[in-house]
Amino acid sequence: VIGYLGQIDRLFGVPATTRSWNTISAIAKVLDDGATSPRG
Amino acid sequence: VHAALGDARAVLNVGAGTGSYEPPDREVTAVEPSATMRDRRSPALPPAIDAYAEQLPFPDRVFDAAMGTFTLHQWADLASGLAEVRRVTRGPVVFLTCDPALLRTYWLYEYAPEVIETEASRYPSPSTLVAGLGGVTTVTPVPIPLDCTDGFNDAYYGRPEMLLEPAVRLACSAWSFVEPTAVARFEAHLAGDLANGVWDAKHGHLRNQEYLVGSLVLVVSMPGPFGNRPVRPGIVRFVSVLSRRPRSTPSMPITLPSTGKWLMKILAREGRYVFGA
Repeated sequence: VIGYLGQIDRLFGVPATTRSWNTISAIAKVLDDGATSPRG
Repeated sequence: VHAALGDARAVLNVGAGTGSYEPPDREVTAVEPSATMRDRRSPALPPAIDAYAEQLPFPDRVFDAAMGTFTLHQWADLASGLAEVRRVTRGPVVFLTCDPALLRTYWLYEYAPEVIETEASRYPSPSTLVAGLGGVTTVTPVPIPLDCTDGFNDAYYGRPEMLLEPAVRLACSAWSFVEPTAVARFEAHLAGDLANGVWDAKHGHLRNQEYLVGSLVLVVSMPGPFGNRPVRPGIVRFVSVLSRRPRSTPSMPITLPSTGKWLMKILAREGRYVFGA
């Protein structure tokens, strides 16, 4: 599967960086909690 | 609500009631389980279908958008209802509702705490809605105008005398859940404070305040990059960030390998972000 990720660079013609969506969602949740916590 | 629906043509109105807030310029399909409410709809509006949000009688992704106003607090199974609305809707899902935490900031809490607590316990929190709807969901306060014609409690923020009218209170179901003694105490307390000037000393500025930013919120949920596809074990979703604008824009979805059992699917691209599994 990892080998197929390289296909993204070729298909779109530019270098790409790939991350798990779970990682992105976890970061977004932390940022969101940080933004709303002062309101209690 | 109408702006959040965007350019949607086919719109589902869940818990449509008598059809208030229903846009006249869209193809609206209304769903309302109460026969009494269905019968009270204007003849100018389409008749409502007898169904519950938790079990919508429609195929997947058949509506451009969905809406609901003051309905979420009446659903028996919120999670199922939200999943159903998301299932049948391709685009935005829009709810006008109340943030329960903000209900207690309203002056009425001083006079009828039982009513506010009843309301607060029935309305789902914004975080519950965000989690239930998935995708990209925003919660925005909606300013309430001084001459608001809908009959929810906050609408009378600058017209306190109105809430002393039993007929006015009938429009807000929370009043029917509290003991008559609590209602009588509220009437005596507010009537007294209006007569002796206490209410005006504390809140009189509201009589001329054009808008109140209170508990009313607009929840708008756009489907995420992975659409309505459920999360499945063994499937890893990913996002690729292109270093600059793509030189080529292949049509999607792309399945790799192109024949046989797939190992990777490229599902969608939004600007420099590519989504796949």
